[in-house]
Amino acid sequence: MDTPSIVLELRNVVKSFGAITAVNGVSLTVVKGSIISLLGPSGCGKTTLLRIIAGFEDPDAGDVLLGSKNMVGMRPYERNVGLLFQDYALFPHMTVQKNVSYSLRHRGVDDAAAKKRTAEMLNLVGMSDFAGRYPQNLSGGQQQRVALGRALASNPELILLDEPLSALDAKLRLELRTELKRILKTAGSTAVVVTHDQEEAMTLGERVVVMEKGKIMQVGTPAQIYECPQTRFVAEFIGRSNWFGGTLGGKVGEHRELLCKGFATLLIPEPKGGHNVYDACIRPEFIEVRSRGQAAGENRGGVANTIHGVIKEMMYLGSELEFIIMLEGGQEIIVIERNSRSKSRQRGDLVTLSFMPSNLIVIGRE
Amino acid sequence: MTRVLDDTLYALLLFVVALVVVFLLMPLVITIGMAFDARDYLGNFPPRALSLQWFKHFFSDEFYMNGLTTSISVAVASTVLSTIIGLTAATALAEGRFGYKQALNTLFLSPLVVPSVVVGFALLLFFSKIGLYSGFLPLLGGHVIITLPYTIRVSLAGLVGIPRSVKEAALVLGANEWRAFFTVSLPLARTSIFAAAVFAFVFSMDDVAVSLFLSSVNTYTLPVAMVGMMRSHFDLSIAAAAVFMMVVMTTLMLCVDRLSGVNKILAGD
Repeated sequence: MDTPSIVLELRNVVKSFGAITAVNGVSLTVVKGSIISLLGPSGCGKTTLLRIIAGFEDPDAGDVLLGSKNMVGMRPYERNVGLLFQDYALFPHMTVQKNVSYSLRHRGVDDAAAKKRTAEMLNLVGMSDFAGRYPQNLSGGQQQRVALGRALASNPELILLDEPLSALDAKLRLELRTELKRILKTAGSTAVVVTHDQEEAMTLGERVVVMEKGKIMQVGTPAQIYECPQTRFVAEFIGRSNWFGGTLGGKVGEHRELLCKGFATLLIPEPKGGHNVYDACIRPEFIEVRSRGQAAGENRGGVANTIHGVIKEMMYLGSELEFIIMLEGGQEIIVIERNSRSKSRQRGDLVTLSFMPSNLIVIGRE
Repeated sequence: MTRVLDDTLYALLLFVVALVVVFLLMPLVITIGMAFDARDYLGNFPPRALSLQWFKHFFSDEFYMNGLTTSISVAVASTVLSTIIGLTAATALAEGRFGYKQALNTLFLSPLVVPSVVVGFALLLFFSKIGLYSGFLPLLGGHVIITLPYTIRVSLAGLVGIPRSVKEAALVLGANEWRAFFTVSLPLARTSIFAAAVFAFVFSMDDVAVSLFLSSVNTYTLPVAMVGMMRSHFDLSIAAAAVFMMVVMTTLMLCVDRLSGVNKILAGD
């Protein structure tokens, strides 16, 4: 079995702007044909990293390898990288056709081949019927498609997507997300998606790279990132979470006790590291809600943590119900329950919450 | 009570605006009226009968026509030079990666602040120092200097209006900076550049102060000829000349307005 070839390799990339270190020692490899997401809050350095890969910025230190060539110091037009801009950046004075063929004309492709490739690209992004239009006469979603076709036309080694869906409205975003993935896969592209939107990152990326303050916090599949975050930052940034802090107690079977001051002792999976204080996190959808006094439902046999509380707020979201529940110690947590219509709950109801120790994410407090 | 005050103030506001309009338009109306006067002498406004005699006089007078020819040649040449230099300077200000950009910008616009009489006098001294006394070249130089602030300003407005991402898109798609400029920036700024050229032409045609210093007995612009005429033998051919200039300028400005909006350009964004 041959190992897939590496398209992009970043080695210890550092970039500062004045006193601010935007990118602080980032190393990353992207293999051929994969899609990875760079996810982080604004100001985490992901956009700077994208601009370094595209060649708009030069790193202060470190290497940027495309294929196996070091690209540091090379101008954007000396690399073959595609970039889908957040605002699409289509050329307003050129037709869709001219926009898509722009890179071919400037990369020395002969006219006949360029024409063929342009037609292929327009077909791939489903914009063949609009070849003669000007960008301002297209909808946002159509402009997005043209921009993607334009970026892919020169068959770039790597395509960078800058917040590809953020400029679209919610409904179109869902539609284009699937479409975007299909187009990238059909074109066999290697892609890096930069986004602050976790949903976008997880749905588009086969691997997610979470960044904060110029550093990579964690790299993993969307499931690894969501289910096994290694730091509190990652756990809090991705999805919603409820936290319980406490000190370690004794061993109970395969589990360990977490003594949470004021309200309960929780059973947690055996934690790593030798910390004194641990934080345990549970996602809102992993908590089972039942009315106080009602017997536990299909509790899959194992040991469950049980805590009591009262419904403080309730939000009806259609497919699911979201509760803010005040626990006995006064702490408030978020619980999400699938809407089943059979259960009617109200504000002020006394409830019992249960969750499996295996669903808890335990992180040692520094 | 406050309503009455508001209404009164509003009425007052309209009155002031009306006054300004009248004040601006009256001289033009009188000039246009008098240019068509059928009398041979300078009579009172309004003329009792109309005729084109002053226009005939204007277009057949060698002194005026010489001025008009010079004006047009100087305006065309200075427009070409000023637009090219202005675009170059604006590109440097918009794209350049160097310090003191603000200072440079101010310097480029300084001819707007320095009184044109001072510019004219300084240029006269400068040109005579380098052995170029009055004539076509000094006039051309002077006109390039007084029109440059407009061409820089207007083409800069066009260039900075182009989103950075569009220029970057050209680069990442394989065009070098030179080609990106000619295939993206230049076409996108073309209305502004055209407007800059029209501005240069209009301000060159219109100038009196600088031209007065740099004109010679044989090389003088139309406005200078009009001033001279006013001193030697005052007649209504000056009004006809003024109306002719007015028609040319207004037509040009309307062209620019159609294309891009003069107000937007003058406001600088």
